[in-house]
Amino acid sequence: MQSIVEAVAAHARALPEKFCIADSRRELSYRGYWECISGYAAHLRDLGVGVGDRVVVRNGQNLDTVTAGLAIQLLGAVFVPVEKNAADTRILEIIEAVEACCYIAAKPMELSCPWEKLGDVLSFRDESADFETFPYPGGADTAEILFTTGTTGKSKGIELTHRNVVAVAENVIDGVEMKKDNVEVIPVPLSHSHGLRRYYGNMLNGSSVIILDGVIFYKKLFERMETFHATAMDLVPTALSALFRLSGDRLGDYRDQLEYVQLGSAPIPQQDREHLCRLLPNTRLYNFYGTTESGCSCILDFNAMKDKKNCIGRPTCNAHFIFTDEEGQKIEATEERPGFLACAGDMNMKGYYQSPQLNAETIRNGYIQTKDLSYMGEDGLIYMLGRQDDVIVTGGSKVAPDEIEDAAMQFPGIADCGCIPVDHPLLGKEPKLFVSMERGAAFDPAAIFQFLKDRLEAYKVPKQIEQMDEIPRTYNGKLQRKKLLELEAARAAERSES
Amino acid sequence: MDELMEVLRRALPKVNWETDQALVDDGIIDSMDVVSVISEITDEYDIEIPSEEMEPENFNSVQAIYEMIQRLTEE
Repeated sequence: MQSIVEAVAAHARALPEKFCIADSRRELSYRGYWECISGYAAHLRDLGVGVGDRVVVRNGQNLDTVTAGLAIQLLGAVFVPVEKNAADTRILEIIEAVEACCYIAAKPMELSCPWEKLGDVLSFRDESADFETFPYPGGADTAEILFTTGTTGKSKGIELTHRNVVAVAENVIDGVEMKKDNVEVIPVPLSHSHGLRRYYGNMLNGSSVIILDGVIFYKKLFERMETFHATAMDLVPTALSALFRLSGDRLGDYRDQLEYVQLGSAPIPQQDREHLCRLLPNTRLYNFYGTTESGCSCILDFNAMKDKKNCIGRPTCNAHFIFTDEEGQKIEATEERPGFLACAGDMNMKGYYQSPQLNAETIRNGYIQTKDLSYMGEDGLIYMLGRQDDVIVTGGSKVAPDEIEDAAMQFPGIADCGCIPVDHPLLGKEPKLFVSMERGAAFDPAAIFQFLKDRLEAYKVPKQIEQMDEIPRTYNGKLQRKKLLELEAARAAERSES
Repeated sequence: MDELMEVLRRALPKVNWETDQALVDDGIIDSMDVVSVISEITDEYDIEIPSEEMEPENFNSVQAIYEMIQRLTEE
């Protein structure tokens, strides 16, 4: 299968009545979904959208969004999703960067290209849609451009071909051992790789998805899970924490129904991870390692492998890993001498959109180079010590800040935390911990220090512990370590001035 | 009601609070927007919104939000 849209067509032909997709209000069979995709593709074609054109879609987290996405791809055009809450300036930047021919969103903006109303997408459904009207896109054609949210610097456009997208979907299917009758709830944004790729995996597999807008309306979430007998769920760590806060232990009611839960996009706080394992003891709980550039390349079932510290699991079906030194030369990495993880495979992006220099720096001999210090264990699994930029070298010893954060999160009353390196006159660097406390909990740095001392090697225990109102994180929960570093740098500059 | 309207305009200035009656159902506001609304009204009215009130219909319009606040302040 060369593209996801071709796979949906094949399933619509073979199993027309099978439940395909639902959102909070509507549901479609594979045949129904195909009629919507095909009908909207015809509408876009009539508007002049053609092969290679870029169409920007502002995510509505509903059936309209995904239908528009596949309709665009069916035409051989390029799907460019952007998050619903994106600032207007970001939308304008992206529209200009890709020279979009059309903007699909709930509401119009003043733009150089025409606007199409997202809410109208399903109204173009064509009940007589056939499977021959549109030629299916080829594997080498560009399917989508995903823009990073830019936790550091300017946002980058990641260009993916249909083969890339299918390969990531294959990685998902392989990684979670997805069954054909899988029904997966996806309450995470479809404008980003995490949610989008779980949806693609299910579509390639001929399985079913339920798209929901977050977990805040948790009763609706559980109602949809019951209505469609959901067997899988996809969450980001912030959504998991919110679900626990809102619904208590209710997720545990689905322990016999949920075959797996995928968690990703950011590390899960240790306490949430342990709580989830308790609530769903027999459910496979997956953490995918991957990037938008090289998706879903490594998978770990952390419910089955609780004792594997720093483990990110096994490579998925299309992923091939090597470890390199600073110069990009392949090395035999070990725990004592970790290397930089580099990954090859069909899921690797075509490249950063119109950025030849960046591509040359990132892709070497087909491998996407990371700054993640890793090695392969004797058990054949990959272990990661953290990003080179994040790893704290204190007195010659390497400390992964995540390890300190995981330990600190077990301290009663700590709501969130982040760890960074700060200058030390003798050791070079030492870890510093920022914490935010739960409402009503007192901040007691001496008690936190003692708690960490009981759990970590002495050189890993941060001597500096500071309270903050809120630890900076991206919308999907990724720690913005850079902001903490900037805060420290600004203070250091102030100190040197005075 | 006027005071609430001000609070909601502060939380989400682009929403047409006067006319829209199905803000959540029609996808005009999403879960992140609801979080912003909750944050503003909990600060302004010094109330906690219990999890059982997290229903789309409680956030579909100014009137619905107003009635929820009335219910919670009377308790």
